[in-house]
Amino acid sequence: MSKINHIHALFFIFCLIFNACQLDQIEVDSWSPEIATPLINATVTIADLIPEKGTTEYDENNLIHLAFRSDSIYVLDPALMQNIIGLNIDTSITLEFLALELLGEGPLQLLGIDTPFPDSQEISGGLFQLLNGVPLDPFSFEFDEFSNASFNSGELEIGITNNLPISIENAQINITPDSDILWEVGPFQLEAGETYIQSIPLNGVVIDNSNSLQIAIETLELESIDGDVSITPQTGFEFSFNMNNIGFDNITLPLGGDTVDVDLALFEDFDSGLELETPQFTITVDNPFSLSGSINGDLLAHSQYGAQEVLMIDVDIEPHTISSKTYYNNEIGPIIALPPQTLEYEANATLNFNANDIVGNDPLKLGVDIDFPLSVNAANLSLKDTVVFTGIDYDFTQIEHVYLHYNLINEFPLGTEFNLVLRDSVAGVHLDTLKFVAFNDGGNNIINPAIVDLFGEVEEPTLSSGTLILSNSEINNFLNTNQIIIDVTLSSSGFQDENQYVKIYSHHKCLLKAGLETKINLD
Amino acid sequence: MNRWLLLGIYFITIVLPAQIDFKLFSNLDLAVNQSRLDLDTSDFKILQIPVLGFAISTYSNPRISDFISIKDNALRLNLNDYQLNVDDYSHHLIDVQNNLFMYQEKYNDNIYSFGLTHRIFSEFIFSKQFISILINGNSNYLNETIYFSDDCVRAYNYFSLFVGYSRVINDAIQLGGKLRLIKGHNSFGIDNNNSSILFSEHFATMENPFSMHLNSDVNSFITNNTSFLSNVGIAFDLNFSKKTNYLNLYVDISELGFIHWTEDQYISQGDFYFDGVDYSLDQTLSSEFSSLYDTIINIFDLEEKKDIKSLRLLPFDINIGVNRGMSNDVGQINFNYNLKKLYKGLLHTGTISYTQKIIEYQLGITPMYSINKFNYTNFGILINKQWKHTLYTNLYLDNIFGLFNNIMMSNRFGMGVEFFVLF
Repeated sequence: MSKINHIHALFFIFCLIFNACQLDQIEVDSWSPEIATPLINATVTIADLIPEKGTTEYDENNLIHLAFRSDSIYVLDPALMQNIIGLNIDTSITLEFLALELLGEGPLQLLGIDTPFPDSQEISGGLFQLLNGVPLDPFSFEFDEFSNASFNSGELEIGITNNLPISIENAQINITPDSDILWEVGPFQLEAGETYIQSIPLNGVVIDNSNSLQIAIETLELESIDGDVSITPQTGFEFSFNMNNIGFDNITLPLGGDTVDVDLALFEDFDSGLELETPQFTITVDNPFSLSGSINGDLLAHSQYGAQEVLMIDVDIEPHTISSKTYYNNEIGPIIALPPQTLEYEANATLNFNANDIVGNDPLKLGVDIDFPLSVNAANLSLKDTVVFTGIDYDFTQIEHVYLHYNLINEFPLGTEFNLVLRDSVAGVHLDTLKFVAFNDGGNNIINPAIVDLFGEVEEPTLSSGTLILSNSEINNFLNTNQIIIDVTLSSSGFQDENQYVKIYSHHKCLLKAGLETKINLD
Repeated sequence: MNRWLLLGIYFITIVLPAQIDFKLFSNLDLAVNQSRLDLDTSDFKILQIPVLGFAISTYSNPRISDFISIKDNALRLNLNDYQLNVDDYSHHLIDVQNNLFMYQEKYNDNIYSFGLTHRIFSEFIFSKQFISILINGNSNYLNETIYFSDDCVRAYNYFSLFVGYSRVINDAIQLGGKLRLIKGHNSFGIDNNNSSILFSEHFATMENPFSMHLNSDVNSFITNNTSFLSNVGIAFDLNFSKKTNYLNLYVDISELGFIHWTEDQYISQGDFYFDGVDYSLDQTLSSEFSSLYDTIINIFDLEEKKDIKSLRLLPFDINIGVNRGMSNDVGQINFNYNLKKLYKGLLHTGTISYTQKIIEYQLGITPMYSINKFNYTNFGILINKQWKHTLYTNLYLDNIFGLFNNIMMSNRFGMGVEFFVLF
């Protein structure tokens, strides 16, 4: 029994000792290494921010251009020219139209005439006497082939067909294509169904700013008959105008208006007021015909904020040549300063040709050649690029401080504001913005532009150094970000010479050399 | 059953950290004559009780209490205090010797012995700059090249099977030795030869604000073959003593020998300049850091040499001393000089002790004072007790003043215990 008690006592002591004498844990105190380490040498080139795509091109020296070339923003098809040369216009004045103009619908109903005219109806022949001696208002019809024309040859053949069920005993019609021109057609007599044709020489005719013909029935005497006649909706008069062998000293063709399909995305990053040193805007006309003349119009530029500028275009057209006209800074400067988001044109072609000049199937083509080298002044350019960043899984409470020391070597020829935007793309929010404020920049974060020569070429990069002291929230945001947006704003505001132009090359770069100094509490 | 339970409890309690507070220590790292029992003439047979004999000896600079404390049942390691208390180098040495078995017989003037011991010896040397960088970081060492040429780690674990013979000549001279067959079990070591690191700052320059130039020249080894016939060695213990009327002069050399280790050796020699990850926006940031990692791995790629035979000396001891008996024949004063081979250099320890025998209690008490580079005021005590003519015990406690200040936390700690049965 005593043995058992002894064992129990020893076992109890054993358990007591075993449980009492263990150390719970090992704690490390005062371990807070302060570490300084190089981190990254990030190179941001203009090519990263302005990639060569669409209308953004690099030339052989890597100078960036906004360049757009199209030789056919408008095509004047030869068929259209042929149509003008052999213009054939058919129109008609129906009895229904005349009756409604003269009497109105109510009286016609009283006279037993159904309106609108059915396919066929019988009316009293005496009713046509109502048209005799009644003054009819002139009527007109329009054509859109041209609006101004000065003819030097050819003739206009005017045909009038009597589609009345009775004969026309006497008629005269005056046709006015322009306020100063009067063509008298007639007097003539026509049996029902007959056509009267009269030719009018067009040599020397000038139509000025008109694209309509006014037809006035000066005299109309119809046959008097008894009994009923049958009328249809087509009953009336039919007019045909055929131009033959015509030539123009001058004809103005409306080319219409449309948007110039040019990608101006490069300008989206610029603020208004942009000035380019040597922009060129060239209009080309490829004329396969023997005609000559000119193209006139307006180039309308719209900014994204609704501002508008106009460039008036005037390009001569020479026979069988590609002619062009180039517009320079003094003419297109206001457009560039917008800067433009869209371009539209509205133009007319003033031509001199005759039927023999339009040969072949090649069209007359209107083209543009835009070349805007980025030799800039008064430029404020905002550029962004995104870096995918895998967040760091680290307890930021162990970090006592983080100093990000940096040397920014700026080869951009513009004052540079360099910010890092910390973004959580999943939540779609910007967490923070790290601004690089240099020692010597007086509290702002504009890095001085690179030193340039008189020609705007970079001679020497500039250096900005500083220390970014990250707050606890900034550290936390940095650890949790999954995207870093490099936000670069270039500005010419730092130039001493306000007229200084600088050339922006794709190889220009800004180097962010950063080192980390941090103190970590590892207790 | 009871005995095994008690034995188990004893061992458990002796290794539990908090049990240290009980101050139950002894030491057999004796700075007295190797003849542990004062039996000069009679024939005898001694059997050491297996497993119960061991000795622990530690040296630490800075002393452990300078950077380790126990509070709220937690071991607190204060690294800042550690580095503050390092002069030029920190030096830590742990030597654990287990006397697993020993039999000794004296017949006429001949003493025969054989036995088995086990030893773990480890040594750590770190330069102040290395420690400072590790603990404080590198910010204080910008633009200063730091060399790590003297940092090293050594650890050996081996068993020793010995046979010994001593002869007493004319009751005045004792000459003897032991042949030790060594079986190494583990070894591990790191040498930092000519490694250096330079962190530079380049504020307001075209360079990265910081750069690092690392030159590594590190080699290490580790035993990979634990088969029975590998890692064998041989060592000798030699002892000589001469007794005059009042004096006993002696020289003891222990474990003078080597082990022929079979090791895997690793050599890293690289030169790496780093001033930040080069990155452009058309690259993937994480890939660039991965590429940097690969570059570092390539530069500092360990050159591995398998199964290299390497001969390494054992950490031997040499004791030279003199004992002078007092006129009453119950007292003896001892002077001892100990030389211990360390990996780099030697440890010199001088000891003066006085042995007082209390005949009626069959008790011997030997207070000691020793001095070496780790500790200038080391007072220890050896207690020798004979129990009913057959059982002898040696208990030893070093740095006894540490009893009042948590002995484990000082820069010298030693304890040991032995149990002998006398036939």
